Amino acid sequence: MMLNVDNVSVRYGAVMALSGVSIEVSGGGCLHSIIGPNGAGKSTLMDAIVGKRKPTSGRILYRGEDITRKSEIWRRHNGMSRSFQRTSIFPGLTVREQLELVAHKLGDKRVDDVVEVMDLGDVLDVPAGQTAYGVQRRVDVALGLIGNPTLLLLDEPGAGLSAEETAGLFDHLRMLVRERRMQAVVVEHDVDAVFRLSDVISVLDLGKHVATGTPKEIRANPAVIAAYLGSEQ
Amino acid sequence: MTELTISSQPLRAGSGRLPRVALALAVFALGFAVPALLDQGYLLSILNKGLLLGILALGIAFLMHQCGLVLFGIASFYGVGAYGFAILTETGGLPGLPAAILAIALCGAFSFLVGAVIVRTRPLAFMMITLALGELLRHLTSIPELRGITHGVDGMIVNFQGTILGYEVFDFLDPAVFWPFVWTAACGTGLMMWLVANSMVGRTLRAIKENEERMRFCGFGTYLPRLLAFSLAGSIAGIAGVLQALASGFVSPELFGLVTSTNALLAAITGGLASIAGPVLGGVAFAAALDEFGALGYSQLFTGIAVVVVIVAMPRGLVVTLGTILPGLLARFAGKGRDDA
Amino acid sequence: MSLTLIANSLALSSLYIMMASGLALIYGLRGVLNFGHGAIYMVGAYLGYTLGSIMGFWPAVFMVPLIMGLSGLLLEVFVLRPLNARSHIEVALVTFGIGLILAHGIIWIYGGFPQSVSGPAGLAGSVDLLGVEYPAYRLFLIVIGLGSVAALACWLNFSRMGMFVRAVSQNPQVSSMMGINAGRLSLFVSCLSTGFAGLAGVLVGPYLSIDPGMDIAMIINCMIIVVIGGTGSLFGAILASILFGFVQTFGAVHTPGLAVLLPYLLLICVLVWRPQGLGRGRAA
Repeated sequence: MMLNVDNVSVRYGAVMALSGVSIEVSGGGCLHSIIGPNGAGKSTLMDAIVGKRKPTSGRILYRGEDITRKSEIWRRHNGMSRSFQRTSIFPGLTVREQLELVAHKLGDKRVDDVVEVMDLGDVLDVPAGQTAYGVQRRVDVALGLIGNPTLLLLDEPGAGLSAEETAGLFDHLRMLVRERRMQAVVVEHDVDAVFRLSDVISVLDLGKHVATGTPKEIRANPAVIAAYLGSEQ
Repeated sequence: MTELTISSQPLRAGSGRLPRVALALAVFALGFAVPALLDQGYLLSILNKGLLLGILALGIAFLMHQCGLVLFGIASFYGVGAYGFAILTETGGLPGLPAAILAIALCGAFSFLVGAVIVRTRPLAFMMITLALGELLRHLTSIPELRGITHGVDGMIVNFQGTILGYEVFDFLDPAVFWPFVWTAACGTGLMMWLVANSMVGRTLRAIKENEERMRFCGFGTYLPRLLAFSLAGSIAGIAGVLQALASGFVSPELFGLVTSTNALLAAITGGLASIAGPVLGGVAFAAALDEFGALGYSQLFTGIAVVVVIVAMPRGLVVTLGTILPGLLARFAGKGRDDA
Repeated sequence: MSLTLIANSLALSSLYIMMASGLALIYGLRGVLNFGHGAIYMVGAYLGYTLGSIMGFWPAVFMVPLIMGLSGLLLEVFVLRPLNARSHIEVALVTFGIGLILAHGIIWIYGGFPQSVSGPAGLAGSVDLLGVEYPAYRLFLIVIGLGSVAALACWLNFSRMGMFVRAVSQNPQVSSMMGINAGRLSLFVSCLSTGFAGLAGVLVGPYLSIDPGMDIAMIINCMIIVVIGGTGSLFGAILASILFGFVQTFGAVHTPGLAVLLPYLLLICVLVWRPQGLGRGRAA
């Protein structure tokens, strides 16, 4: 078991963003998606897993070790990385400069790999702030891919992209997961892409865990349909 | 929101325009010939003041360009260096060179402690605390209660036993003697800034300035690098402070004051923040102008007008602006000459 | 803890409240700290002195805030709007430069010496304040200071324009999408700010004397107060002004030697404990 979210609750003031959520993420080449209506707590769950927010209660277990208290810096050095819902890159640095900067820190000098995978060969020497939004999203994901992380957490990687670009991104991800045996946990709204490409899906609603299973199981799950899919087309 | 447009230069590996190594060494060597070239002691003493201001400006520019922090109260550390030296030689009885080194070290330690607390605060709070620290120290060195050590508002005369590199305390009052010291310090500081800026540390600092959160999520600690940068800037101010004490033979509470801090900040902005030569040239230009206008009683007016003009018309600083205008002007003159013929 | 001491603290606080409110208003709305605010105060003080000696105190008290309020137009149109795209630090430095120019102008006209300003005859004596004799003018200062800020607070909380000011102060981006006329709002706030500085300036003459260094002393104190109070929060500025006035007054009496250090220690302590200040203002 690579990641174990153990009964995690997160409170913001008077609001309970997550209540007692437990999810298991197995290792070795699996695309695990997290879906749910707005306000379900998906981003909060990501924040808790990656170390941006400390859970009010509960634990995060990574490879069997309790990492709830560990900083996000530690997590990045130990195989866990994330990309951001609102693109978070370095606009003033060229694409090459920022990839190399992170590569240097993580002890992995090769960026060509990541450049090829995320198709950034054409824009390497352009300041990232001057590239198209779709390129910036890919840079955001690329920053997370450096150093061969074993657990990749992606928060709405398709946000702001066209359906075509999102599909392309997910294909990249699927390839990485299959070929590199990476583990990816993805929060995403594009339900088509999610159901087409995920191996496992977890559903959240109003801060609670509703169900986890294969796409087929989730589609047929009455609780999920009631909470979420019932309002869809 | 408080990002400076002044300092969002494209981030290139060689931050600023730097002459090649041979040229740099030649300039450095030639610098020692300056006292011989300038007969008047007056011009030389202006240059001395200008370089001192330039060193302070370098510290400010460094912190602004690499970290996006506005060290408005740099006079705090400047004064600690100066007073540290004066107190160590008088009350401590230390000879010149050890006192100077110890004063700089103490200033470095002081800036480390201050930085440890404030480097994580919001930009405005950071600015205000450094400013308040300067005013606090100014009052502390003025109050009668501490007269025994600081001599209060009268200030302290600097006097040390022995020699520093062969020169006694009163020798330093001669601009020609002081010049090589301040020239070496300015060049050395500039070199140090350049090395840090072009190192991994510099790249890391600038990336943190752009997106601190992402840096943490990429595995970078963001506190320690900025703390070290702050301590470096404070230490540089301390070096300038010790030099000031040597050059004038005197320290007074005004060293901690708002005027000192403002002049250094303006010199940095005037010269331009993204290069090494900029702040130093800005310091010289500003010191010369201040001397000129100050003698006529117009220093306040000059400073006020200078600020407005520089920020409105030359946001990248005098050096960069001249650098972009002059080649064009020169080209036109050259072309015109040929056309006329 | 005598009544006189409390009243003296309130008098000093009233002065700071008038100044800090103006500063906090512009800071909250635009994120710019007007470093020239102290100089405007000084201009108001000297203008009050001149007009007062020509026309008498009461006409001056009415005219100076109006004149200084109109100068807010100049601030808005010639400084804040043209430099709108520049960073806050740059604009703040420009206001600092203008403040220096103004201060130089005052010294050039009036010379570099302190002036004493006589108050109105009607407020010259003492009043019986709960059994203690207290200078009438200081009581007047307290009433005007607290009263004017109370009026400001009411305006902010109960008027439409005031609501807009609060909205923009808390969230500038969203407010611009809501179609609030930011330009008109900013102009009004700038005039209000300079008007308050003018009022404080014309009132301070008979209370403390006026001198050419008053702009620097005041702007440093005001900035400390606004920063302690929290970014642009009016309530925070009021709270901090009262705290500041009391600390300075009590400090001057009980620890005279160290009294000058207290404002800075106060600032450092508050900011280290609570970097965003006491109140709650804009997110930046």
